[in-house]
Amino acid sequence: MTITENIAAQRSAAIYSEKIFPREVRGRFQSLRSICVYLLLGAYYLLPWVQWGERQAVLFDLPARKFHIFMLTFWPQDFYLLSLLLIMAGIALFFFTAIAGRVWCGYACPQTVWTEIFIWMERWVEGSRAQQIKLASSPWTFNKLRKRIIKQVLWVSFALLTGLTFVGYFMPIRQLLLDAATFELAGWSLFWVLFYSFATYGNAGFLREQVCKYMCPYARFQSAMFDRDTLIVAYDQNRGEPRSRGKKRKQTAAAPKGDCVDCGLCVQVCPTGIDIREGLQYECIACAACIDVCNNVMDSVAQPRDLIRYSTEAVDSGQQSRLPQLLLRPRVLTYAVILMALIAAFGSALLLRATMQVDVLRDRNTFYRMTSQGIVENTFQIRIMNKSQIEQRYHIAIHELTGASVSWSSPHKNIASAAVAPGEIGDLIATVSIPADRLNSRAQKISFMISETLGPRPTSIAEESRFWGPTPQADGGTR
Amino acid sequence: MHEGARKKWVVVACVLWISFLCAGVAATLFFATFDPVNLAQQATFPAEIDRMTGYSLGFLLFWLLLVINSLIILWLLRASKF
Repeated sequence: MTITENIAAQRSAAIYSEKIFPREVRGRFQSLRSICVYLLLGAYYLLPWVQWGERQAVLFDLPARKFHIFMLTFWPQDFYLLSLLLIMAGIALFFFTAIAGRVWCGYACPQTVWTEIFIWMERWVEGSRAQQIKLASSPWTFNKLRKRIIKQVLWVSFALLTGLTFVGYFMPIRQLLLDAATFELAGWSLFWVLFYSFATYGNAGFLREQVCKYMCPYARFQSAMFDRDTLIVAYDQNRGEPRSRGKKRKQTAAAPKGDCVDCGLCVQVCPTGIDIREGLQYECIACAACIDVCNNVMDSVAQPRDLIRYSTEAVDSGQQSRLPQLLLRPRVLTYAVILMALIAAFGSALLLRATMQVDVLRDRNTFYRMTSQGIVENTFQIRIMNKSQIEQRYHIAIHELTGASVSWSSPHKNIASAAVAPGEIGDLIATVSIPADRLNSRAQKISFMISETLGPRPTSIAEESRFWGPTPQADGGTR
Repeated sequence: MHEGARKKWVVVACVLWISFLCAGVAATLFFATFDPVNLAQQATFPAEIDRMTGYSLGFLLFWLLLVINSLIILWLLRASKF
């Protein structure tokens, strides 16, 4: 079988097959990928352990319906901010894709990053690609069993650590680890730890590149963000072809030949098992392993590097590449403008975020109460959500109903201001009273002004409701 | 593994994965708007659930519905004579 046939067979085997054994490779881009793995996974595993004052710095406290991110606390009402953030992330992905192609896939996608670390573990235990293939085809010896068990133990432990850390973003991780260590983890936390561990194991240990090839929507639609100036991993057809190798290369010394020595290493290192020499394919996650390995080969045969390189369609068709051409394109600029607008909107929404929220509800049981002194009283339920970080005291006043007075009647009567703890909801009751002869209709608009009394910039919120009383008589009395 | 069996597994994996992502979005939108504890109080049968149970069941239910939905669509398309 010639090497080309061999590659073709390997390729079709890869499509319906079993397992791809990517060959290990060193080089500039693989170092960059390793750095990304350390940075991203480091951040993932360490972030829940960071404390902020009394609490975990990053905690999506679902049971309390509050998200803490360092100094910020988000409420369900702040959901639009989260939506904005997600839209921003999406546009940023478009932006970077338009400039640099699938950098996300190659360097930052959790799927790639976790797969990478699972492959590292596999290599520690089972050795190089050749050793792995040999082991896979060998009969079940003690040595094979031993290696497989060690690998699975490593994978499962790492997956469990990943699952535990994931749940640690949603409930305090210190307590979670304590519970896990004493086997007291139960209920939903146990379920989600196991679920996420299983997902990690399945995606990074078992499915790997198949997630990108068959299951990822982004892999299919990313080409819509591509244009002639987007960076892609490409084989220099003009320079490389006609490819030839070994004996044949020497025998046909007189015939014209390209720089490609047809060693097949670019196929062997590919985590998705494609042959980059066949042109851009949607399976390519732009990990640049083929660039690194081909550069090493070119170095060893004393040919210039970059037979496979980051390139653009425009460059491939002979145009000069200039930086402005790469960056100042309508597509890139459009994404940049949308992104900047969203960042500005997000920033100002965050800064202008109210520190409180107020809901006013009328007492549903009684419309009004008449005292013996001829005073009409209405009671209102006032729910104040204290979204600030301090214990706040709230003052209540009234507008649009002349002659009326208002006071807190719960939690205590006759207090000047009602206290609500930081991050809590206060269920308060206010009583509005007015002499009956000052009313001029059965139901009147009433406007409450709830004001913060503490903090650097106390704010106020106006809330409207209706004040009910008896029907006023023409002579000014009441019936 | 032969080709047919493999294709079936790819279909199952795609259905599970895409439904999972969509269920995540649906559960986030839904529970940002409604508190499961309040919903449980409004239930037409006695339901005593805490928030974690509410979120978890809600998410799993969304997921299950989306999986069923996808599988029925796939089955209908496959069984159609266009």
